[in-house]
Amino acid sequence: MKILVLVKQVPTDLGAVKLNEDHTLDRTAAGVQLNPVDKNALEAAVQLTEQLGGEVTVLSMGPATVKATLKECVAVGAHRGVAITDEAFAGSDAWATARVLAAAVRHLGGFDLVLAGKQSFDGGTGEVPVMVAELLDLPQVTGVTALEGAADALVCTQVLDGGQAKVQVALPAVVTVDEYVNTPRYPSVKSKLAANKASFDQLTNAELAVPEVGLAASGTTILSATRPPARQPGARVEGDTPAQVAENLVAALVAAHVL
Amino acid sequence: MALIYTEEQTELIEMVREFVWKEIAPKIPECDRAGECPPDFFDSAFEMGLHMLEIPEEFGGGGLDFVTTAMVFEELGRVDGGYAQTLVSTFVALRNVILAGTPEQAKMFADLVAPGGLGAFVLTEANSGSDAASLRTTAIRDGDEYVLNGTKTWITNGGISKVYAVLAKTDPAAGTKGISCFIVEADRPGVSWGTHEDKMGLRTSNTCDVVFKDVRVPADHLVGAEGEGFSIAMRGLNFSRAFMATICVGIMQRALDEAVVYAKTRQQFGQPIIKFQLVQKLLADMAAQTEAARCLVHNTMRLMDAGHSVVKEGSITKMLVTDMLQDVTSKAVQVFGGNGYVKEYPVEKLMRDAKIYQIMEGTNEIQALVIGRALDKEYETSGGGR
Repeated sequence: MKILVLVKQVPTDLGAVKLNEDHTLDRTAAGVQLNPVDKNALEAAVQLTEQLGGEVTVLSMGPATVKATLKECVAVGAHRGVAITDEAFAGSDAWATARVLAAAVRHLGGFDLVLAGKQSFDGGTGEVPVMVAELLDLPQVTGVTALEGAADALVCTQVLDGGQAKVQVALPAVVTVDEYVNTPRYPSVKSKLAANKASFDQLTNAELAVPEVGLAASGTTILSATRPPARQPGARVEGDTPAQVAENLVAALVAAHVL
Repeated sequence: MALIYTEEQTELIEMVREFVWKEIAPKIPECDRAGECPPDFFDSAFEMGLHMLEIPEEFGGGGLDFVTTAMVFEELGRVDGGYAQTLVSTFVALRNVILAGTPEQAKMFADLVAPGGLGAFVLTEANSGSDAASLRTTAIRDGDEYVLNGTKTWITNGGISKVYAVLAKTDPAAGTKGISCFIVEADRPGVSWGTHEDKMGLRTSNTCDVVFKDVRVPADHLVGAEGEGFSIAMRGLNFSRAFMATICVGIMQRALDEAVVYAKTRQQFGQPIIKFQLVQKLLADMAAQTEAARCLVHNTMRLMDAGHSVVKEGSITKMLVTDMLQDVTSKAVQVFGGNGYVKEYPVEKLMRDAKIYQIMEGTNEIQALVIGRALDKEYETSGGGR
């Protein structure tokens, strides 16, 4: 089975992300990591190829630093990595990103399955894989919590309100997973060292030829962006004896209309 | 941070750090209390290859140099000395076989631990501690086999290993020259174990008697030649002492980390106690000793990577670092005051774990003897360099 996994490099520390005046994000001080649920998508892909044979390719769009993320993926089982890096893609929203990713999937070609995490840790819209599936005109199953693979179809479990559903989808398809689908493995020392020697293919818009890209192709405009209000410190209930502390606590709860 | 790390080393350390703090650290207090670890405790370490970091790739190891391996083991030691010790004892036993045995023997041992198994180096007996030459376990040749009989004690990983490197006398009448080294698989008929020792510290490291009663091994399980066992053991000890010291540096760093964080939060007389100069003196001494210990270990590892035998340097490292470890962990308890003496806080465990390192792998008194003898020999030939 030939599987493509869409992965995203996201900030490690959201608190260190700065808001630019044009409402875009300055992530430089925030560190980078592989989007956590993308690890589950990659693990699912690696497990499927371990069972059924095949190859896992990871694909990521972003600045030159995405290669570190691709390296991390190779250390836990991806066979190859492709970086989509082009200044022209800067400022892409979910739609503009999905168009580039879909073009890359077509360009690389021949995949039986496209896997992705259900949403990113930073943007968190959960839209990109859905849009990629639509652009590629492929069936999709989202937020999958369990996967059973066969050569030409997948059985996916989804949690619904008050129950769960099993959905069989014919391949090729796009499937997004949530973090309950598996426990991602740790890299071994050997695979980690081997990943240091991996080289990655790079794609730019010269190869993909997406007509409108970046900020210009983005349908959404951010009108304002603010930080969430800082959390207020809790109140400390004190007293000379345990009984007094309890009395003061009850009084505080009554005053706050909790009791 | 006394050392210069390459990008590769930094990434490796970060990977191990993330794993060990997330997966292992939360389980340590319960394992320390119970004095044992769950059977699957080392599975993830096996998957990552942490038990074979410095073992050549041809035997299924990570192929790392000693310097990098030590850096990783400092990180493991920071989380738990016993956890790190279990893994170190495994690759030390295997390394002994690689150094002294044939490639086939190295493969025999490695194939048992590589897929997920522990190993042990089996030397000590009840009446043969510092005086290793006086051991009584015998290995008597019988046709194409050797038959082992005897009781070993204080064996690190004794009860949880898949394979042992065992020292036994092939010539009971001879002294050190009568000792030989054997590979013994733990599932051979006649191998059994005593109870796991209820130790003061390093309680996550398995320590027990291993009993050999008419245990038969094929003659190809003899490592090196008959009579070479003592020199194999001594060579192995040079090497393992340096690795023990790297775990100690990890424990020292942990003691320092805990003490500084505590001193910055603990308020007395209206300010954090780190603002008091006498507390600063405690912390400064701890930091200085930790840094010095790290540099010493690093240099010994560099010597080993360059192929030196480190007889004197291994003993110097073991003796100094483990002595400083006592002081640093005791000072950490001092910084915590009464809180440091109770199990609710992390530093009393560090102090308990520390003590054994002055005793095991050759007491520090034996280290002093080794250093003294080395000096005697060195100055005999060099004459003091004048």
